[in-house]
Amino acid sequence: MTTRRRTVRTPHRHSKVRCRKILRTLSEYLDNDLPKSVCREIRKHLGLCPNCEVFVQTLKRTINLCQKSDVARLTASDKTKLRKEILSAASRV
Amino acid sequence: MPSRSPKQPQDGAAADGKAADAFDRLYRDHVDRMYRFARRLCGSPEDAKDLVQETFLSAYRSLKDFRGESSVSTWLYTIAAHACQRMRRKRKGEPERELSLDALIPTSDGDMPLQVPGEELSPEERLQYKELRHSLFSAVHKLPKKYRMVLVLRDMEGLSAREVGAVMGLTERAVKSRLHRARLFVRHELGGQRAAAPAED
Repeated sequence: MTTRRRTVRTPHRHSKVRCRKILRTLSEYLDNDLPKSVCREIRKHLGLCPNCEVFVQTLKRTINLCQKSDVARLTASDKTKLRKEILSAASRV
Repeated sequence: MPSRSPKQPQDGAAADGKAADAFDRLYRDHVDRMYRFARRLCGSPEDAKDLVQETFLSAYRSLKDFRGESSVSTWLYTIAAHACQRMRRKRKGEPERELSLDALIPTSDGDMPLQVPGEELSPEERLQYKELRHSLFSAVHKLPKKYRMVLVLRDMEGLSAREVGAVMGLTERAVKSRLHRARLFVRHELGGQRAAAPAED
């Protein structure tokens, strides 16, 4: 009687190489620039890999923060002063 | 205080008057946007004002050549991007360094996790959020300029990758590559901050 060695297969084999490959494409994934099939694969991986899931969430937050960032505006008097300087420089040439 | 320009156009200056009108309209409609862009790019208010001045001066001189092939704002962004490069060369800034993707992608499980905040923000979290915005500003200014320009145009000014490519003279592929590196760099810089932005819906 032969004994057959059974290999236990996990449904998803976590691989650092795979993680790194996915992390390289995350911006395109978040910007919806990848084909649907690739997005599906990434979603599948994210569901199985908590580290990549956290990475994608923090990258998403970083992008949101950039999108919401604001800066101080020019005051009305600065705008007028700047306009005057531009026109004065333009007339010198 | 603003000084009023003379109402009478100078001799035989109908065309000049027209150009001045066009410039006034351009300036009024776009100065806020260009200053915001310049602040994000340069950091200091004074440098930003210099860049705005350079940008509108160049725009004034080439207004008659503008054919409307791109939107006015894309045209101004392009002028500003070139002006920024010129100003940088004049100041002989340090050479641009490249951002390595490998250095920005974690190699071990340990350095990947970063706290993700809850949905609601308490007053304390609001304060942390304010600090986070400050950290974002610092992180963006640590980026080498060619990466900063892409991030600012795409994620802060809201241009498409294609428009960013048109402004910077890059392919869409190159824009996306720089953008990803820039985002990873900023994420990495913010990693020290345990607070984070409010959650999106």
